Order: sequence, then structure tokens, then C-alpha cells
Amino acid sequence: MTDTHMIPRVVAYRWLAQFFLCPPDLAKLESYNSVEGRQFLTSLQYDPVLASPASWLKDAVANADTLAHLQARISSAFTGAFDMGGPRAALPYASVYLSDNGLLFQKPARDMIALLQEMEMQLPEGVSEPADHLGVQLQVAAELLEREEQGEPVPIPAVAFLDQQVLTWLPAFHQRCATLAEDNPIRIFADAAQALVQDTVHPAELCREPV
Amino acid sequence: MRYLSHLAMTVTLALFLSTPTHAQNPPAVSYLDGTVALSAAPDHSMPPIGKLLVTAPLRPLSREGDWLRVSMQGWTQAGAERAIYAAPGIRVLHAVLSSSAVEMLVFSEQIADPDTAQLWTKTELQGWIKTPDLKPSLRDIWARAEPLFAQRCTACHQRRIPHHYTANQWTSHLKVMGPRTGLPKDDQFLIRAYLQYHAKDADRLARAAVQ
Amino acid sequence: MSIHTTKTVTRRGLLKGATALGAFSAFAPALLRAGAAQAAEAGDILSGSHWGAFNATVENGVWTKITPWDQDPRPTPMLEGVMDSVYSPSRIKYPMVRKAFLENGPGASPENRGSEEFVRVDWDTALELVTNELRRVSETHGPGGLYAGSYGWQSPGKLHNCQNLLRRTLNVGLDGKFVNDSGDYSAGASQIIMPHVLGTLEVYEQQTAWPVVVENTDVLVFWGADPVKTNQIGYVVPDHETYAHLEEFKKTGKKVIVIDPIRTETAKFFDAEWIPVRPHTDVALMLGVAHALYSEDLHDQDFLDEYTAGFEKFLPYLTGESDGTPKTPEWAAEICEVPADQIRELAKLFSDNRTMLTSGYAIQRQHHGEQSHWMLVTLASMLGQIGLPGGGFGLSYHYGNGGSLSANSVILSGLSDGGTAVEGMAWATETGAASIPVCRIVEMLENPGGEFDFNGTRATYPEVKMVYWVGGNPFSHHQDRNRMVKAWQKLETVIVQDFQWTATARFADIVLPATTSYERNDIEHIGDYSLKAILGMKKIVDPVFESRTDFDIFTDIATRLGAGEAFTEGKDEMAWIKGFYEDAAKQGPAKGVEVPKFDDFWDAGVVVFEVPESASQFVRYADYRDDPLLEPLGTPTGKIEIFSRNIEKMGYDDCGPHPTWMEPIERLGGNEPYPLHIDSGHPNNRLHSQLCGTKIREGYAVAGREPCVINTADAEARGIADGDVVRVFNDRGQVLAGAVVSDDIRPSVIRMYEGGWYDPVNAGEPGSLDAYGDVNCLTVPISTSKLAQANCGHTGLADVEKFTGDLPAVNVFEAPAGG
Repeated sequence: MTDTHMIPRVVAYRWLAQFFLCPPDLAKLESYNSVEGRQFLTSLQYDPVLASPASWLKDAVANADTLAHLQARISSAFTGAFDMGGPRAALPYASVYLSDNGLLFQKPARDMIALLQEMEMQLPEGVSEPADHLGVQLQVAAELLEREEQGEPVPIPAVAFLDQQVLTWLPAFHQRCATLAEDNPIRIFADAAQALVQDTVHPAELCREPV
Repeated sequence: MRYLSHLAMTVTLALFLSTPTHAQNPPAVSYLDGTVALSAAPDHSMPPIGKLLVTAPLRPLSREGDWLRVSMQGWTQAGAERAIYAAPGIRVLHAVLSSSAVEMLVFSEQIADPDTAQLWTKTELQGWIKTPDLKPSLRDIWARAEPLFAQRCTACHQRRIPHHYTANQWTSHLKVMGPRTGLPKDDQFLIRAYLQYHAKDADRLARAAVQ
Repeated sequence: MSIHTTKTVTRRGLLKGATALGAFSAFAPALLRAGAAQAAEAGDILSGSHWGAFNATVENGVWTKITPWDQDPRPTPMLEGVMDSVYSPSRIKYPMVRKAFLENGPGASPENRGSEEFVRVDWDTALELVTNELRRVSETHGPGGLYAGSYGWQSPGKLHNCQNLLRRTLNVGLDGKFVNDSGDYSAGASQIIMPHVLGTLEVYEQQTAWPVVVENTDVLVFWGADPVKTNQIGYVVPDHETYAHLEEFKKTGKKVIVIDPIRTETAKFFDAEWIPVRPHTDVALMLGVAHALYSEDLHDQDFLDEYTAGFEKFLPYLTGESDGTPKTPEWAAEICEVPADQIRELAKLFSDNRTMLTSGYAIQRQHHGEQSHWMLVTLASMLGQIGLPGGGFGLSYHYGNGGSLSANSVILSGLSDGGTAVEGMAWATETGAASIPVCRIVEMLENPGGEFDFNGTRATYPEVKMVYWVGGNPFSHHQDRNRMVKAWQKLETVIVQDFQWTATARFADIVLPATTSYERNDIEHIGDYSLKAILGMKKIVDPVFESRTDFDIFTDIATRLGAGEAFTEGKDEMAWIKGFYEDAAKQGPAKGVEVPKFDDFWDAGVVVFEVPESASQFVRYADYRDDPLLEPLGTPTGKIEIFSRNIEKMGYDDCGPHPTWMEPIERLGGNEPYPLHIDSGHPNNRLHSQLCGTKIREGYAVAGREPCVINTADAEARGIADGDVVRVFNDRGQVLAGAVVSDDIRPSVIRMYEGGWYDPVNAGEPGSLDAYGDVNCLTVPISTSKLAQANCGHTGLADVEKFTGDLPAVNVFEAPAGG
């Protein structure tokens, strides 16, 4: 698969994955204030599926009282959606949506553990999340895409992986996030994740013109 | 304060009976640390006539080799003379005798326990015991009892407070709970005695002991 | 394989700087690490729980299947929920701190507890906060400032006994300066009154062996006890031996009577005669039977003379000579709604036959609950069968599989609480009680410095500023939730350590994620009374998220308090477990038991002990009956005290010197502010509140709510149909529930099991509607009496109506897929 996007898809996946897996700390937010950081966000803005979160982040970094405030706001959004459950929750695990009782660590998690084994990869350092976490899946997708580009053998084509293991639940997660406040970064990034995966699997269905 | 007496803890029989260099007179009564068999004569070939239990207050009378002749005062309930207790109505068990040994007891004053109207008789017992471990004060015995109680009686349930129960109640509690400590019988008796001497009616027990 | 690995690593190494992606890597890094993870665990692992021993099947490091231990004679269906609990979305994943607390410190906006958001912090930050708070409160407020009488059913296991670990931490690290608790919510009244009557706790003691009952008992009475239901669980790992014995008894076809407002599981099992007594009037019924026994000269005067004390002082009360009210069957019938003739028949039946009167804890979890079992024992004394095979009374057949046969086993100790015996209490006289009756916690918070009576003593409530709770859910087990929500606001700091977001955790300031017992190694007995086996509770899966074992968490806190070495004694998890086992093994020779070496035991997973022949012949109180003078009871007289001089001396107006019928604060037919009695018994499909958040709930929830069983007539009168959502309410609170319309419950009584998770629609707001159905929003908060100061979870009236408003969602179980 040849990447014809402005932002390589591998980068797009990794950037979103990182957000879901490790919410930006203060240093990371500061880096977006650097020349390179602003350039990076600007280039993301040209990509239709990434424009919205990139713009949000750019504005947020530029307009925040202090970056510490922004960081707290993002953390709070994370905690509310991912760590606590309850009415405002949107848990980012495939198992929750694909198992009978909404449990964690069900078959999707085991499938991801097996896939990571096959790919000879491990969860990121310091991450104590199940392997069917959206962030892990997006990282895996990036890895598969990259191996395909390099002509490496892959245990499963990236598109098939996204179709069979991500799109099976991402829309439900996305829908759940749609109940969050409009300016909740989780909602904004979930929109982007949904669009990105959808675009990879079914490219025709999305307008690819820059906004 | 408790630990000052540590030094004196291992007062041996020899010290008691044959060392006049003690600054003061040896205490008239010392306390049995452990359970020992009681014999009618200093003779192995004869079966014991009963046993003395930990904290039994003993007055050494004479000595023959390893054997010590002792006398002990206590109280018996009319009809149950085989069991000698510390005080009228307070069943801290000091000695249990075979039926035949009851005739050796010397009875003196009789009182009616005001709470129960039961008749109790002051009783003196004499007999021989072999190489007993005697302590000059009960505190020396508690030094071993306290950690046993603290370690073995807090593992399964919250710590019981000694003065929440009467000495008699502790007998019943230990009958049930003692075996669950997995400790040898002697140690269970030790814990029981410790709890009884710190029970709700410990003051009454202490007064009786002084008399 | 190895070639491929090398190639991959090399390729990734090259990618880092050399490709076009490198420019983006700072902002979009590849986070996955190269290299295959260690082969994940797979296979079958034997472990155990409050619901029994089981085999866990693990695939790819994930627990996928649970099957009962092949030697469990009657596994409980609840076992399925055990696996669920590990992977529940209600797991606490990371250390969390309430936002205002983190920003503004202790005591910040306490009114927002329960509704305010939490902020995730790392373990180091969380433990530093915890340690600093322990120090600050101890230094500022003294030993009375910290309450660590953490109470609840936690999980079995001799090492990760979290409540003990907490006290151990505070004993070694804070010189034992904390307020503890005494008693429990289960049998609080009985365990205080029984020592006055029988010298012993009675409620937690081995019963006459079931084979003796099967052979000798003619009439088996369950008076507010439902052993078929409650023996599914154990405080340790249950043996489930009771059930085979119940089958045996059933086969004999002998008479079984269930005296209960509800046709219980036990009643159904035996197809027993059901006497639907009016709730809260059991003492009156017993007095009626006692009067019939006495007036018809059916009582055993010889037994009373020989083995009991004070019957002659009780008698004038029974006959009415002392108060002008003879406690005749007619008098009783008026109160308890059991016909006088039937009461007389019971008296005759009991005295003509070998009768075993068993009872549970329900009838003592009531206002004046001390009287219930005291009167039961008095009744049994009049029948004169105590100490005879199959006769007398039994207060623990419903608990811990009481009456199952005691094995000849070696006994595990466990981790001590680390304190010395008395020093920790020395401060108590200056700053208030070092220990409070466990269910008085809200009163303590409301009334610091206030005096309270307890079993003949008077003490002062300390001024508690901080609470540390582990292994329990007081926002489930305590009565009058709304009053509790308010009292909790007086605290400056609340720390909760648990594995899931219980209501208690939601109302905390600092929340620490513990593992379940299935994510760590431990050791425990099988059989509360039988001690049938020692089980290795092996770790099934690695801790999920950032949860840590209780032993680890407290080791860390103790270390920060400068007492790490004293806490661990230099031993890690497996060293402790091995130590407990080897300590127990030393008892082997004296008991004639062969105990395998630790490594062999751990490999096998379990060692089962033999049951000696004598165990099946055990008769409770046979030794006393045999020789009452040399086997005296632990009472002042050494006898069963029908009259207690010690209680008389206390002079309490709510607990006299002999069993007495006293009007409770609320009851049907008495003070009746609402028309329906609430029966809040122990659940059939949970252990208190444990497993409420699992798939087991789907088997019993009605319209997604906790069931409320209501009599057909009562439902009809209110236009309620089976399956309706109803609002159950009184002046204390309001909860939603799902109606179950049934004739297995007598009229004017509703049943909502305790332990439904509290799910306030407006958290933190006292009086908020509870969307799921925590019955303790409705129960009375007073104590049984000055004697026991125990809870009255079975006292309280309410009304029910069909709920017609906008139905609030149940959110407490956090299953987001269903919304």
C-alpha cells in the first residue's frame, strides 16, 4: 500500500494512539509550542481526518492560561472517560463492547496478546493497560502499515486487522464518546480515530480534500 | 517498667532455696510458668495426682533432688473440689486433681459468692513437683504471654480487648478459640491466664489474690 | 526465529533516524517495544475464594474459565461471578485522588464527596499523600484522630488479610495510635449477650454434628435461619459440606419447621411447615411457647435446676406475676399473629420430641435483638434437651457450614496485627475510646466527645478526622445511608483501598487500587469449622492495570513510616506463605497427621485432612451436661444464666436481667409509621455487596434493579405488577427496586436483600433517590441496646409505590456498552 496522504498514515496512527495511551504531560504540551511542534500541528491540519484534533490542540496550547491548566483539563477528561466508568464513561477497550457482560480482558484482549506475540512486540514501557486498548490497537495498525510499506511479512494485513479487530467496536466507542461535551478532547480525538480507521478500511467513503 | 524484671526472670529454684545473698527475702509466693504434674511424693514411679497450671501461686516448702514440695492456696466450689480456682466465683484454674486427691485438700473458710449465692471454700493443696519454672511475679509470665496473644490471636480476627470480657468468659472463649491458634495446650493456657488477669473483673481477681 | 528477531530489531534501529518518519517521531512515536513478551501463562490453576475452591483456566495470560474444585460437594452458582469480578469494568485501575483534596488539601469541600471527579496520580504521589496524612493526623489530632477499625468481609487468605495489614502498618509505623472497632454487623447483639448467658460467643462456634442431628432430631426448627442460602459462602474457603447432611435429614422425612416471614430457600428445600410469624415479634412467640410449656407442666424442671440459674426470677415475668401481663399463647398470638392454638401445639411438639431449635442472625439484628437468642436459649433450657444428641439449640448451622465434621488438621496461623498486647490502648483514657462498637461509627462522627454505654462500661467517642478503609464497603453494610453521607462530610481525609469502585470508594479522597486475591499468592483453610483442608490460593493472573497486592501497598507505607523491616520481618510473599505452612506442619506429629513438605503441597495445591470418627458424634454441650461442675460454663454461676446478675448491675433500661419482650422502635402491629416491614436478609446470590457488580446480577435483577419481593395482596392494593420498577421509601430514604410479586412472603412484609450497590442519582446529596436499590437507605440507624450497641438492620418499615417518573439509569456497575 502506497501512502499518498499528506501525513503518512503511520504517523497519523501513532499520533492518535499516543494520545489515547499516554495523555500529554507538561513537557509534551510545551513541545507543541515550539516551532517544530507548531509546524507539525499545521501539517496535521491539512489532513481531513486529523484537522479537528490538530486544530483543537493548537488552539488549546496557544490559548491556555497556563499549560498546566490545559494538562489538568486533558487529564480530567481522560479520567472521566477512561478511569472511572459510570454515566460519563467511554471505556477504550474492545472487550467492553464485544463481550456479553461488558467485561475487560475478554477474547479481544487475548487476540491482541496473541497478535503482539506473533509480531514480536510488547506493550509500551510503563503502560499497564489491556492489549485491546484503542491506543495499543492504533499502534499495532501503524506497525503493520509500516511493515507492509517496507515489504516485511505481516501476520495480518493492516486493513484486515482494522476491519476485523477495530471496526468491530470502534463505532460503539465513538458513539459513546459522542455523549461527551463537544469540547471534550476525548470526543474530538475519538471522532478522528473513527474517521481514520474508516478511511483506511473504506477509503472511498471519505472526502480526501483538505479542508 | 515491665522489662526491668527481665533480669530477674530466670530466677531458678536454686536461687530461691539456697541463696541467702538476695538483698531482700525471697518472695513468699512465686508463680508457675508452665503446666506441671503434681505428685503425692517425690517419686517417679507413682502416678501423678493432678496438675498445676500456669500462674498457680506456689509457696516452696522443701526440696529433694529435683523435686520441690509446694503448697498452694485457692478456692473450690462445693461439689467440684477437683478444680481449684484463684478466687471465689472467678474461675481462673490453678489446679486439677484426680478424684482420689481431693481428700488431701485442707479446707478452711467458706463464703457465699454474693453474685451467685454459690458456696466457695478456701482450700490448701500440697504436693511435689519436679523442676518447675517459677517466676517471682506474674508480670514475668506476661512477658511471654503478651506477644503470644498479640501474634496468635490477631491473625484471624480483629484484636479482642481483654477487659471486654470477664475471666470466666475468657475460659469459654479459649475453649473454642484456643485450638484454632494451633499452639500447644500449655501456650493456650498461658494466653487464657493472661486474658483472665486482664479481664473486666481483673480488680476483683487481684484483690482475691492479695488475700 | 532468532534470526527473525535480530532482523526486526535491526530494521527498527535503522528506521529510527533514517526514514522520513523520523522527523515526526518526536510527536508520533512508535510506542510498542520490540521483542516478544514472555510466554503468557496458560493452564489450570487451583485457587480459592469465599465461594469455594476452584480451578482457573488461563489462556494467553487471561483467565478464561472457572470450574469448581472436584472435591467440592456442592459448588455454588455464584462461582461464575468470581472470575467476572477480576475483569469487571468497576475495577479501580490507578491511584486516584479527589480533585478538591488534591488541590486544596484535607477537608476540602467534603460535601462534594461522592460526586466530585477524581484525578489519577502515580503510586509514589499517592503513597506520599497517604503517609503524610497518617503523620499529620496523628501529630495534630492524636491517636483518636485516625479510625482504622476497617470492617468488612475482605477476601480470604492468611497473608493478604488487608484489615490486619492496615493495623499492622499502624502498629509498627504509628505506634498503634488509631481507633479500632469491636464486634461486627452480622451477630453484634448475640455475641455480646451470649457470653453473659452461656459464657461464650456461641454464634461462631461448632455445632452438634449433622449426623447426630440426622439420627436423633425429631423436629428440626429453623427460626429465622436459611442455611440452604447462607452456607454457599464462607469466611475462609467454604467446604459446602452442609448440603449433603440436609439431604440426609430430608430423606428421613422427619418434621422441619421454618419460622420466618418468608418461605425461605430452606423451607422450599424441605417443603417444611412454614409459620409466617410477624417480623420482629419472635421473642413474644417464644414467650408464648414458654408459657404454654410451663402452664401445662411440659417444661423440664430438673434441667432448669441442675444446669441453669435464675429461672425462678424469670418465672414471675413469664406468668405475669411481676408485671400483670401473663405471656400466654393468646397474649403472644396478638403480637406475632401465630394463632394461640398453634403456639400450644408447638410447645407440645417441642417437648414431646427431640427438638433442635436453630436460629440465624436476623432476629438479633433488630432493636432489642439481645433478647431473641437469650429467649431462644431459655426456651431450649425449659425443654431440657441442651447437651443431648440432636436436642437444644444451634446458632451457627446457617453460617460457615456449621455442624459439618471437624477434621484432624494442622492449623495455619497468619500475619499478626503487629501490635503488642496493651501499650496501644494506653492513650485511650485520655483521648476517647480506643475501640468503638463497630456499627456506632456514624454516631461517633456526629458526636465526638460524647459518652456511650457498652456492655457495662462507659466510654467517650474520640474525635476522628481520618478514616482508612480496606476490604469493606461501609456504604453498603451500615444502616441509614443518608445520615451516613452527611456524617462522612465531617471527615478531613478518607482513604479507601479496594479493587473496585464501591460506593465507599466513590465517597473517598484517596483511592488505592488493590489486586483481587486472584492476582496474588496466598494460603487458606477450606472449611470454617471443619478445617477440612489447607489450600494454596495461587496467583491466577498478573495484577491488572496498576493494582498492587495489599501486602505490597502496606509494605510501602510502613517503609515510608520508617518501619518497613518491622512490617515485613524481612520476608516476601512466598516466604510468609511458606512460613505459615511450615509453622502449621510442626503440629503434625502431636496430632498424628502426616503433612507434606511445603514444595510438594504447593505443587499439589491442596492438602486434605482426615475426619476422625469422633467428629461425627460431637454433641455441643454434652460435656457440660455430663459434668456441670467440672465443665462449668463461662458465666458467673458456671451455668446457663436465664437471669444475669451482671446485666442487672448495669441497670440498662433497654436490656434487663432476663429475657423480656420490649416494643421496638418500629414494627408491624406496634409503632407503625409505614405499613410494610423491610426484611433485609443476606442475599442468595451475593456475599453482602460482593459480586453485586458481576454477571450473577443478571440472574436476579428486575428491570435492572435490586429485587423487592412483595406479597400478592400488597402488590395488588398498590397497582404493582411483577417486573414493575417501584419506589420503596420512608422518612430515612428512597430507593428504586424491581417488584417480584409472590406468595412466598407474608403480607405486609417486603424483602430487599442487603448488599445492593448504592447508586444515588445525585451523589453526595442526602436523601437522593437510589437508582439501584441499597436497602440500607431505609433501615434504622439506632443500636440494639446499651448492652451490645449492635446494628438493627432488620428493623424498619417503609412503603412501596409503582414508580412512574423518569426512570434514572443505573450507573453504579459501569457497563458502558449498555449505556
